[in-house]
Amino acid sequence: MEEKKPERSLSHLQIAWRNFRRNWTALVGGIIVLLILFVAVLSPALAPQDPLKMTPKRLQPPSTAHLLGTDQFGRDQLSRLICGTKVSMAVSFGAVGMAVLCGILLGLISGYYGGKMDNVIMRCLDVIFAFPLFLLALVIVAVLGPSLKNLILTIGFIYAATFARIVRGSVLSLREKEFVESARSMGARDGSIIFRFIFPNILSPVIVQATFNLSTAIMIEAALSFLGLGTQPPDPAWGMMLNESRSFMEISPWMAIFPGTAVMLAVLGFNLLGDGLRDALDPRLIVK
Amino acid sequence: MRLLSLLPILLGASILIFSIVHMVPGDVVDIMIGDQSHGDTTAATKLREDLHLDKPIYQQYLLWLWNVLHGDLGMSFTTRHPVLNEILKRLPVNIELTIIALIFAVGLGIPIGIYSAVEHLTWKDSIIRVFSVMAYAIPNFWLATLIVLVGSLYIKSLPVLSYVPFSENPLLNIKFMIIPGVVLSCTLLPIVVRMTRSSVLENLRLDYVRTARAKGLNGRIILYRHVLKNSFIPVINVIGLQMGILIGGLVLTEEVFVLPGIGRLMLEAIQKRDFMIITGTMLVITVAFVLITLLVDIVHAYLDPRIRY
Amino acid sequence: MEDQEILRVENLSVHFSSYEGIVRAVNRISFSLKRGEILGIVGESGCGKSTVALSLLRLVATPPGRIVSGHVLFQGKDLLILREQELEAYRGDRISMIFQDPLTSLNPVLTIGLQVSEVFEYHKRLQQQKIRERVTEILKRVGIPSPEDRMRDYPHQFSGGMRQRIMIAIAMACEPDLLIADEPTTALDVTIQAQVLTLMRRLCTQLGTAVVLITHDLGVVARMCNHVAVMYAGEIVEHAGIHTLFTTPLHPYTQGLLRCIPRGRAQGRLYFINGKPPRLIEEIEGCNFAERCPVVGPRCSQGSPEMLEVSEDHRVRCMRYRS
Repeated sequence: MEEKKPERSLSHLQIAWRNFRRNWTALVGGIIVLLILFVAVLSPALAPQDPLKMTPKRLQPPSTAHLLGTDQFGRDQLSRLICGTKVSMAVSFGAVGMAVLCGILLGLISGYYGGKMDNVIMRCLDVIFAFPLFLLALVIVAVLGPSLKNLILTIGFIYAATFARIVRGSVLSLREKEFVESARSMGARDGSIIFRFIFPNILSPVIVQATFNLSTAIMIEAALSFLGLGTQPPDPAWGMMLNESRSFMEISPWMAIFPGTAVMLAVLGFNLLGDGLRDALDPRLIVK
Repeated sequence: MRLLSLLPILLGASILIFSIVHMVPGDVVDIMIGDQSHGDTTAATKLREDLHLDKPIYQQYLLWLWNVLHGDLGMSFTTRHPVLNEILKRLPVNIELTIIALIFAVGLGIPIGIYSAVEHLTWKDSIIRVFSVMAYAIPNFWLATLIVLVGSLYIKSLPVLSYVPFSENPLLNIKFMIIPGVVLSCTLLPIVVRMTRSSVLENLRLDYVRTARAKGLNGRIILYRHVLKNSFIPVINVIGLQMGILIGGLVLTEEVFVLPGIGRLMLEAIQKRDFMIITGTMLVITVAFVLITLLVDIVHAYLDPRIRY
Repeated sequence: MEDQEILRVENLSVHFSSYEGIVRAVNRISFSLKRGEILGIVGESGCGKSTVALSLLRLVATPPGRIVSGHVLFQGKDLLILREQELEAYRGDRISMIFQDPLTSLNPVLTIGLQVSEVFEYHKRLQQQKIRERVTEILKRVGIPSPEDRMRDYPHQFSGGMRQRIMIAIAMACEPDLLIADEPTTALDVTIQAQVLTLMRRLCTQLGTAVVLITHDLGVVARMCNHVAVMYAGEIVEHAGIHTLFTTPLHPYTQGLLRCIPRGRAQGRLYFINGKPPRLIEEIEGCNFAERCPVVGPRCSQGSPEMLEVSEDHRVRCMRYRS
């Protein structure tokens, strides 16, 4: 059987790691992600200058003093970019974290117990999925008021729905498998079955999906900041920096390049990582 | 019969929209009137009456729904025009953008995906895959900004930042809409390429291809007659799933290229706290999205006889 | 004319590359077949019999697989050295193949009418109207009721037995000289099996088609074949006329297989052959079957047994019969 039981999960992990190591795009993704996380965690300290400090040297091109130039208020772009990393990571990890917790809970209950509760939950999820998700996020954030907390809550809420659906699907297929039947016939209680048998087997798709959702969350946060619905000035955020650059494009074009590159790298990194994880954890590709 | 199952979803969606707007912290009327009242509460009271805000909430919802079903989406606070009209004025822009984006994404994406699958394991395939992954990661609003940047700095004649309605001058209209349309298609293109490629590769491994080879058919016939139709099925599915992202991208593309579409209408309404417009546009977009999803399902059923019969 | 040799396979060897080494799936296989004869190739799962079948038409998946040596002489021409285009002319026209699972072997999005008419279009270049007639005719011949209507249906709308009949129709449409059938009845119910086999036999006799029938079921072999080759671990260990094999099997493996068939009333435990077939990755010194053989001797672990011709229709590969 390709599902892992708790005793064998260690060797399963080792196999997955070996597959992952062989895949160079996954490694590139992993390195990018680690770098970004490093910057995000250390960020206020890492910045060469105070990101909020305005100086008279406005709209300067990249120089030795300001490696990425300055913006319209004379603030150091590099420092702002670095601090923006923290915002980006906070929003995406916060949202996805919340979504994973709620989604798993909801999906497990809905999938395992089925019945009326499952029906109701699924109908609610259907309603959420009837909307273009970005627009839904846009309107909710707009209505609640743009702030870091609201971003996390909104994006988290929407992603919780996707996770609930995925988890429910996995649980449904696992529920009917024989090893669950045999556990039940030996008298194991529901809670124990869920925790020891079903839960470990939904971890793989959840981890993969979470990584992909991290990359899209970064994109959504950047897009919302771009529209002015993210963290408010003067706190730096990548999307917001990109938006500000639009007014000064003719004078200092480099302002538009760096924030966008940051977003692209972050999205790329998590995406490659997600691909790598998916291939590494794919039971079909695991050759003993 | 499919349509019937949509009704409860639409109903639920309308409830959600309605409740979102009513989640606004603070009193709606106060926000709308703002500082203009100067302490005079009569205008506020009248407004409250007009908007039925004095009635219990489920009544408000039903009244609103009733109006909506009769085509009345309310009045915009800012422009004093019916919301529906405002929306309809701008809808053609979005429709045109979407069509251009779809044409590019599918028209380019599928051939590239097929080519990539056929050239599997060669350097050509690797390059296409690398580009796809990068194209997927580029935020479309950044791409749009960069293009406007290039247009304003280097290629002064680049047709951007301008708009002419189709009815006035079709050629000029298309000239201005092409670049925004292509930029929008970049949200969908890499996904189409990737899905087509993996679908074709997957199908090439299946048993029916072996049967076709055993019949003596050559590679090209097998690809075009047998494999492609099977391969399109998951591609259509994925396009349906990604339409939501495309619609999201509409808003951003309009914003950067300054096009008079629904997206910018909504953004302006958000800034000015014009909730009538916000709910109205949200409703229209959602209904459109649900219909598009239905359309995708229909195409899927058309392609896959196992569903039809 | 009747006794004309139609297929001769000489020293065919096929290897597969895997993470852990080279798998010698087929090792020096040789056999021949005359016009109108039915040859059965029997063996347990994994013995390489399907690979042999696929190799005859070069349908083995070539990235992991490779035909490393041998000749497949069809009416004198070696199929293994033909160019792909030339081979395509043979496939479906002079030599056809049917597979084990008719559901996955048929294209789910094309009508069966189209899938049958393809062979006519491609090989015979007939008019549309004529093609329709031929398709209706062959479908009727394999027992599909109201073929004119059902031509427009899709594979999933038919039962398993019907689908296999459609596969047979596709294979026999151009009246081939040779039919390769890879476990054609394994996926079917027992009652349907009998019908399909009868159909195959009838059609092939009528059209004079020779058949290579791959199966693991000795019962099928007994019913259908003129002669049988028993395969084990990638090699043919015994090859004899049908009557000879069942009455005087010489190889211990064949004897074991025949002992496994329950006869008459159940008495005592069912017989089974101890052990597992060898992994084909390692080269084995001595006979492949030695570790499971009930009559293994000291000679059996040295050198590989060669094929010995015991009589005109009986060859065996076993150390005990070395001259």
